[in-house]
Amino acid sequence: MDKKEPYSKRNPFTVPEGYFPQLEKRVMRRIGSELQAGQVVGKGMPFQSHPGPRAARLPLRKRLLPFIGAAASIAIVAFIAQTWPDRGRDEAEALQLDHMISKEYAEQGAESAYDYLLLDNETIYEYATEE
Amino acid sequence: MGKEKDLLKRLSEPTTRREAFAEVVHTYSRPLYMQIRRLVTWHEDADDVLQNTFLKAWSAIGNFRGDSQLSTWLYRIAMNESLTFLQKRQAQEAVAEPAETAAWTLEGDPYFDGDKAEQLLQEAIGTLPEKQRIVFCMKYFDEMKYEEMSAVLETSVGALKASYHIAVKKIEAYFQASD
Repeated sequence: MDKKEPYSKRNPFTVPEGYFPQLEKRVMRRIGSELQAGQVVGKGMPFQSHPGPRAARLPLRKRLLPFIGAAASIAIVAFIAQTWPDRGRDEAEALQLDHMISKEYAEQGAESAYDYLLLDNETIYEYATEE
Repeated sequence: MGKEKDLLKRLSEPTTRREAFAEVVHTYSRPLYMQIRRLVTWHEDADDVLQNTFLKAWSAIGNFRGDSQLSTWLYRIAMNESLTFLQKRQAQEAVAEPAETAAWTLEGDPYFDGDKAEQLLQEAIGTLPEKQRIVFCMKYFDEMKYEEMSAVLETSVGALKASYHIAVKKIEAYFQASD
């Protein structure tokens, strides 16, 4: 076939009347609608430089969601960082207070015991016979 | 400044890109359509593949740096789209004989005005595997050089020569069998 080429190279295919002008309009319309919708078809596409329309269609709540999440995370970390040493200090203070109270009660108990031991026999009998 | 260079400059600017792309569609729709039509046979399919070709080109035009000619780049997209389409169609029509499908379509196709010999050639082309079909059409109808085909199909010249040779043998055998 290379040498003889006995078969026609004529293009036997035709198109409907007015096909190409209509095709151009259809292609450009589809491109226009994709631009409006901000569809992402491929890497490096021209739409990438115009992310605005897609973002603008999202509700405010959804657009702010990532920022709210980030702010909440930062607040939790900051709270833990600030309160962690205080909690340690509070625990130490509480232990010290417990110790002081215990000591005070212990001292009071000893004093009561001393008072009791210092009572004379008559007073003891009076306490014992009281109804 | 050359015409293509000027077009590429306008395609690279977001403000002029759409207008410049309309020019691309206007310039290349006919030659690309004929390439695609020879491969997929039916007008409706060629229309779908061509639209997809332009949409793919539009979505990737931001990456086109002019390393190859714009026509070569568009040709490559069109061939890839055609190949994808043919593979899908082959999977769908696995039961039917390709030649039977092509002949039936061409007989009833109002957009085919070929004679019996041209119809037989289209039937023969329809029996080729997708890649051989593309190589045959590019070489036989478009008379492209192997080096140009290599740039479009990203295949070595040696492989293209072998593919074309096998395609020609198959078509000749098809004609001999139909005599």
